[in-house]
Amino acid sequence: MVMALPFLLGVIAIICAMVTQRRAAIGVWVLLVIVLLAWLRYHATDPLDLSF
Amino acid sequence: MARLLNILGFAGVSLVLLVAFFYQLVLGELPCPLCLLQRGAFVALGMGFLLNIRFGSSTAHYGIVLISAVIGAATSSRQMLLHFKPGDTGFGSAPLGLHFYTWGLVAFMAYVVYTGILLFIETGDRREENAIQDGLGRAALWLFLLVVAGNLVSTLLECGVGPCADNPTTYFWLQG
Repeated sequence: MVMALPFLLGVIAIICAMVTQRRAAIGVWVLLVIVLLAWLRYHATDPLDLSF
Repeated sequence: MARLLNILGFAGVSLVLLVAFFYQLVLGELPCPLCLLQRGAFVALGMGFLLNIRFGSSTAHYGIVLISAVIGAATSSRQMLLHFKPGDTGFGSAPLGLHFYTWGLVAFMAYVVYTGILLFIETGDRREENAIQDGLGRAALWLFLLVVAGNLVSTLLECGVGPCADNPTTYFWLQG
């Protein structure tokens, strides 16, 4: 699990947009979203002692 | 008008990341894993505005802003709930009375409302390949790239090529 990966994907997506590769930029954004959700699942492990 | 508001929203994302950087680099508050994920969600959110500025407005680009804002809000909420109970002093400093993750939730929700307003102003799907950029849009784009690249470097220094400590106090790659 590489914590820096979301930012690496962000840099790649920005560069794709700068060189007018719109589809590639959106594709990398989708990867970024998947990584953010996976990393959140990995880190959100502490049980919440709360009731709603 | 919508283009200017897109540039303002986009610059706002860079500003948020710069404030976080200020607290990290100047005040020495290293971000926790959930804090870094919220920064990542801001990067994802900024991509929507960037695409609007670079290629012209599109409903897909606004969708990118909204989906990213919801992911960021979920992450902020999770961290808020960790420190929800009375007596818990929270994680990190609390500028203007709120901790960063609480400000994060406020900002993500504000971006949802902001995007709603922008969608009212937009006259329709006007995607143009390689839309002409003005100086302001170009400057905002380069600032965003610089801030995100800075986060990449600082996160590598803090965490190395792996997960971060839950409560980091030193930079993993700078330890003697």
